[in-house]
Amino acid sequence: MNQFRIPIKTVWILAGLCLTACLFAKPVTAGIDTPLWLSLAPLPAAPGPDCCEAPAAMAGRPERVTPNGRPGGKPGGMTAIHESEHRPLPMRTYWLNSGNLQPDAKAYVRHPDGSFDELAIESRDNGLCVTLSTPMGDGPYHGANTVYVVEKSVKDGVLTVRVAQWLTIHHSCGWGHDHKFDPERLTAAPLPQVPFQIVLAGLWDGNFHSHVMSGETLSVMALHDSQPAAGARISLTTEKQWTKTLRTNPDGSATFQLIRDYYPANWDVFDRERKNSFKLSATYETTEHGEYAGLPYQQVRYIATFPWRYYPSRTEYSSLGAGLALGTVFMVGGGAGFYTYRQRRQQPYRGIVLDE
Amino acid sequence: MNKVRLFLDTARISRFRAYFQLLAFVLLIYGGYLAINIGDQLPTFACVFNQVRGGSCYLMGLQHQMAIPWKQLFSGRGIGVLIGLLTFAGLFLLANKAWCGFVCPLGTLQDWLIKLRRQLGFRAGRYSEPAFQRLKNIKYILLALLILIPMAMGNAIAGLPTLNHDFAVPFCMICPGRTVLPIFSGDFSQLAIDFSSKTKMTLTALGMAVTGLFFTGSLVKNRFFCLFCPMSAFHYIFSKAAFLRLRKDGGKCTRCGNCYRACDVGIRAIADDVESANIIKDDCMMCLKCIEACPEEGCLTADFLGIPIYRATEAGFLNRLDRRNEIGS
Repeated sequence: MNQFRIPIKTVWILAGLCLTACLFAKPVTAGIDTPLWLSLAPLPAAPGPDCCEAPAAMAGRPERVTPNGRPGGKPGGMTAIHESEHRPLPMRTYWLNSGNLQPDAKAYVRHPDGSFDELAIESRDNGLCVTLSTPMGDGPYHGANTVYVVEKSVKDGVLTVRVAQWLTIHHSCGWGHDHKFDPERLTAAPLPQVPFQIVLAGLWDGNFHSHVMSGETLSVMALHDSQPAAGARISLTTEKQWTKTLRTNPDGSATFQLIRDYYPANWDVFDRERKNSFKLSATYETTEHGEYAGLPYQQVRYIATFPWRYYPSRTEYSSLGAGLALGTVFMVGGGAGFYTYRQRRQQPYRGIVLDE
Repeated sequence: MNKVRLFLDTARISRFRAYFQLLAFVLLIYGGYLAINIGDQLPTFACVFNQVRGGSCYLMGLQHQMAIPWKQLFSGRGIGVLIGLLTFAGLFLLANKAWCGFVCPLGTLQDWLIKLRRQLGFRAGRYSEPAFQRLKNIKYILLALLILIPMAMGNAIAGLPTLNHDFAVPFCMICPGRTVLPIFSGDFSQLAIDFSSKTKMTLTALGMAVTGLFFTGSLVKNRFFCLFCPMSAFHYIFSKAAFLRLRKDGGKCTRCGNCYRACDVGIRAIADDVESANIIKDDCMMCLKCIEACPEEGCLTADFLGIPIYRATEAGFLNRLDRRNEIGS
């Protein structure tokens, strides 16, 4: 005898409701383990598994024009996906690779003078973005400005903190280079408000010329609450998707050597100023108990990202030997020429000598 | 006051100049180590390619600014260009072409090469007057090119396509200051030839060729490069208005020719011109050797806003002659 029977109609209604929920519901926690990236150009709103800046360029298709003003800083008008270092702009916009974030996600910018501002995360047709104001001229914004987007969410007892970083050099040579004597201006220092971040040193010289080149070593540091994060995993991925992953030392640092990743078809298309992108992503896990947005967690996972660029090494296209050889040839040749000229100008003695 | 006057008139300006040049050289080459930056619009070759420099040459900034499209150059951005030019002019007006004779590191280097030449026993060379008159025009050609080539990068001149970015700072690419001065701070990278493009290869190769000739020429001819220096040509635009002047009283000149013989650059007009009061020529570097060598009282004078600073006197000439005979130099 059936003591409990569910009417078949109810079953069908419930099934329909479940199907509808699956089709239309957008769980806010979807893709929370996907690294969050900032880039210059809008990316598809739907988060992908390996979203990063400008996949079109990496696939070898023509690079897109950066929306941040002058394309690539080249007077000839070449398109690029990188900001120009010495073409400052009063406003800059950076796009997130995620179409949805937690409502309480925050964005900050740390200015070169140590101050910071909170930015608004805007939702536009093309996706989510943050806009940064960088007034022109030598002032508190002259130097390295670092943008952070921080999002927290809890799923399955794990608090995931995603941090997307973007570093921009706001500089014009016309503003002078007095800051070359100010170490604070030349360092992209961390922001204490950000719980987990990547810090790099030696990205540019005193004139704010980025001078990271292939073949050089890059020292990367992961900081957790402004303290070195020992044992964090840091991955460096080049344009052609070469990836190296290291764990940080007790001092929170890891050292990468930037491999050559740029192989032009022939000499005519070689670009010594080509900005080769690379991405840094760091993950770090701690055992912490707490509650966030009403949800308990027993573990915290931090994911930070930092895109940057490097140039072809000078050794790939310049030769000190050739220069010295040419200089020596002209020095010796010039000397020989002067000597020959003087010898030819010497007149033989034309006096009359009487042989008696 | 008379004692001061006597001291100045009988002084060996060459010795003072040698020490001043050394000080300026150290300041401009190594000043960055002490966070010194005396300016970015200097009327002298303080090479920007030297990372620890104590100031920057104006020509680098000028070439960058000339690459600005005309629409922007004649709008708000032009104000910055004008300010740079006025700063340069203001600095220049203070010391006139003495920036060349007393401050320029490349000039100082050439003077050291002169000493080396004497040690090695090489005979100094001189241009004939026709050759001198022809060669001195090269600096004006270089000045025109260092303005026009960057302009052609930012603008389509006469409908021609714009030049590519590899032509940036074209004079700096061939200037011996770029290759030689950073060596003093341990940077040899500017001696390399850049093969990244045909343009860069040509310009850097030309730069190394000029460097090689610079050394050879400086060992043969005093102040070899100064005759071709576009900075000297640029100076001459403002030279007549400068506060420091070189004056000649033609009535006192006996045409002995000492001033011409003493002149490292070889400016004959110092001796020949008895008409002009302001005797500064475009090639002059105001080393004041001509005053030092002049035996006629008050014939040649360097004055600052009308105040005589250094003048030719018979006593001074004889004093310097005696000292030279004693030392044997």
